[in-house]
Amino acid sequence: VSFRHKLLASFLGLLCAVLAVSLWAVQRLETRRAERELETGLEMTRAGFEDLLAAHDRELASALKLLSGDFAFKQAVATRDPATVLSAALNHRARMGADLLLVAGDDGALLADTRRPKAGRGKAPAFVKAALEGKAASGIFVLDGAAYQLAAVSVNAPDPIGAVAAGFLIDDKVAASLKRLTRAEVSFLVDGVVAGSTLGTDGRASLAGHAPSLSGAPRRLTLGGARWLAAASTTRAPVTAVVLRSWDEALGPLRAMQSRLLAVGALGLAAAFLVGLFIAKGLTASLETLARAAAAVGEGRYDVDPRIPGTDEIARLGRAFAEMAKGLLEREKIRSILHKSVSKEIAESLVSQGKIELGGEEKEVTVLFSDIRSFTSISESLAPKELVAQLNDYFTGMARAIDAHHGVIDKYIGDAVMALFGAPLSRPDDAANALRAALAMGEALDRLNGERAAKGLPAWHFGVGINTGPVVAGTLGSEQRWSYTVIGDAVNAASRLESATKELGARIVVSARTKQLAGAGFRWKPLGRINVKGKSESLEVFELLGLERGQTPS
Amino acid sequence: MQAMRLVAAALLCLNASVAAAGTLTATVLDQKGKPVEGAVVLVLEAKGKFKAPKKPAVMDQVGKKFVPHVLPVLVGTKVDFPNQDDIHHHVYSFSKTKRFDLPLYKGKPAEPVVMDSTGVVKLGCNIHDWMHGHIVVLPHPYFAVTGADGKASIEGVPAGKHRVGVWSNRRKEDPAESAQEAAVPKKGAAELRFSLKFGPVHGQEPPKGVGGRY
Repeated sequence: VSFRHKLLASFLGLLCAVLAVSLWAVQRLETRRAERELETGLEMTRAGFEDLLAAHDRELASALKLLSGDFAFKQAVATRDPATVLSAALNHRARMGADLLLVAGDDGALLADTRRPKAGRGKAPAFVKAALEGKAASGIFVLDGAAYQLAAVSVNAPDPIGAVAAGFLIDDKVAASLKRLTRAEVSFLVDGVVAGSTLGTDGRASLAGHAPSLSGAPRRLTLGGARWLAAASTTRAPVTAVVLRSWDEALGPLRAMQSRLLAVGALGLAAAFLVGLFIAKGLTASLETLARAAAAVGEGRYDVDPRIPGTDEIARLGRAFAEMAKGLLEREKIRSILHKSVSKEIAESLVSQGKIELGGEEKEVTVLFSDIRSFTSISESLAPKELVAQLNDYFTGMARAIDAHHGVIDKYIGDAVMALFGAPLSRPDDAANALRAALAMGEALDRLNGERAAKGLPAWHFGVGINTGPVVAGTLGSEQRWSYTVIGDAVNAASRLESATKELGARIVVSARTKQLAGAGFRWKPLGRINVKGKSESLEVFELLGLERGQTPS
Repeated sequence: MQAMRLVAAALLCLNASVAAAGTLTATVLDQKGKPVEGAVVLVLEAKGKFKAPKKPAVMDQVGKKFVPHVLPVLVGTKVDFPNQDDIHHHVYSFSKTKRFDLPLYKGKPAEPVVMDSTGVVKLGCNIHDWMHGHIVVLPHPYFAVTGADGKASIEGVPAGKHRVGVWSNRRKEDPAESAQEAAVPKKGAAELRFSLKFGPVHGQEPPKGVGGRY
C-alpha cells in the first residue's frame, strides 16, 4: 500500500467517522426531542378529552337543572302520558342540543326515550333510578353498544315525581373535534369495541387488539403500517380514550436533517477525496523526486536539482537536498583536481575546509629539498622524451619514499623535489619522519641505480637538504590558479643546505634544529657551520649517516 | 296546631252522641329517642260515615313556607291557601290524590280546593322550589299532629280496641307498618309510644351558597 493510499484512506476514514458520529448524535437528539414533543401532545389531547367531558358534564348539569325546574315539563311528566312526555322530551332534547333524553317516572318506569320514540315502556337504566333517589348521576354509560356521556336529575314537584337524563354520544364526531384541537388521532373504546375514532377502518380494527396494553406510560405501536406513539386515558370508565400521534410525522424533521447531512457529507467526502488526492499526489511526487535525486547522488551524479515548488517542509527539504548535492559536487571537483595536482594530505585538508581560501598560517615545518647532481649534463646527453621517462622513474621512487613517511610533495622544480613534513598537518615526529624519508630516498636511489646499471645506464647521485623552522603555509596564487606551498627563511635555508651537499661532500645535510627535533635514533657526522644567504648568523649542520643500530627504517 | 285541636274538638262534638269516646294520646320518637314534630298519628280503621266540616282548613304561606308543614284533613274538606307574603306564590300539586294549580296570586284565592279523595297531596310552589307542604287526606277524623314535644292527642275516639299508626313525610313506609293496638277507654285516655325510624328533617329553607360556579 503506497503512502498516497494510506494518506487518502486515513483522510476519508476520519471524515466518515465524523459524519457517522454527527448522524448518530443528531438521530439521538432528534428522536428524544420528537418523543418529548409527542408525549406533550398526547398529554394535551388527554387533558383536552378530560376538559371536554368536564365541560359537557357542566353543560348537562345546568341544562338538566333548568329543565327539571320547568313547570310545564313537570306538568308533562306528572301526566305520565307517554306521548306527551316523549313529545316534551324531544322538544327539550332539541333545545339542549343533546343526543339523547330519557324520562322516567318516580316508579323507575321509562316514560320516554328520544332514541326510540315508538318503543313501549320499559325499565329506566339504573343511573336514572339513582337520580330518583337524589344521588348524583353522571358519567359515561353504554346504551345498546353506543357510549353516551350522560347526566340525570330528579324532577321535583316538589318531591321527586320522576327523573330526566340527557347526554351526548361519544362517537366519531367527538373524536374528530378533539383531533381538530390537538392534531392527534383519537379513538374511544368501550369494552374493547371502538365507539368513535378518527382512524380508518384498518386502524380501528387493529386498535381494538392493542387496547389492553395501552394504559400507563405512552408507548410505540404500529397500526395500519404507520408508527405511532400511543397513550390512553382510562379515567372515564368504561370508555378508554386512545390518543395517537404519528411517530413518522414527528420524525419528519429528523429525516430531512439526516438526508441533508448525508448530502453534505457526501459532498464533503468527494471534496476531501479530491483535495486528499491532490495533496497526496503533490507530496508523494515531491518525495519521489527527492528519492530519484538521492539515488542519482548515490550513483555519483551530483548535478541533480530536485526542484519542489512552494515553501513547505518538503520544498525546504528539496532545496536543502539541492544545496547538499551542490556541496558534494564542489568537493568532489576539488578533490578530483587536488588529488592529481597536490598531495593527498593537502587535498584532504583543503576539502575538509569546504572551500579553497587564499592565505595561510604560520607554523613550524620541516622542509626537504633533493636535487640530482650534475643534472644539466645529464639532460644535455639525453633526448627530452628519454629524460622525462628516466626522471619519472626517479620521481616515482622519491614520491613513494616521501609518502611512506607522511611527507607531502610541495612541488617538482625541474629535477628537484620539495617536500614538507608538518604542513598542512602537523605531527609530533615530523622532523624524524623527514630524516627517515631522506634515508628511504637514498635507498630508493640506490635501487634505481642498480636497475639503471642493469640497463647500461650511468648512476645518478643526489643531495638532500633538511631544515626545520617557522614558515607560512597555505594556498598561494589567484583563485583560478593556485598552489599549496610554504614560504619563509626556513625554506630558503633548506634549499641552501641541499646546495651545500656537493661542497660538503655529504649526501644528506640536516640543520641542527631538525636534528634536535628528531631526537635520538640517528647517526650523525658534524659538518661545522655554513653561511646561509640573507642570514647574518651561520647555520650548524650535520650529515645524516643512517639509523642507529636497532632502529627500523620506518 | 291550635286550629288542629279545634277541628278535633269539633269532630268530637259531632260523634259524641254515637258512642262513648275516650282520648288517645301518643308520643312519637325517632331512632335516637328524640321527639318528632309534624308526624300524623292516626287510627287506621274507623267505621262510619263522617261529614267534612264546612269551614275550610287553612294552609298558609308565611315567609315563603307552607304553614303548617303537614296538614291532615278529613276527606271532602276544603282547604284555603291564603298567601300572607307580599310576593306572589304559585301553589300546585301533581299528586294523584289531588291535582291542582293556583297560578301566581297574592292574598287569598277566590275558591278553596276541595280534598275529595284520600291520600297525600304534596304541595309545591312553582317559583320557590324549596317550599313544600303535605296535606294528608284521611277517611275519618281520628288523627292528630305531633307538636314539638312529639306528642299528639286524639279526642273523641270511640272506646274499644284500635290499630293506630304514624304517617310522616320523613317515612316512606305505610302507616300500617308502624301499627300499634290501643284500647281506648270509655272515659279517660289510652297512651301510645312510637319509636320509629325517620329520615332526615326536610325543611323549607332556601338554598344557600348558590353561584360561584364559573
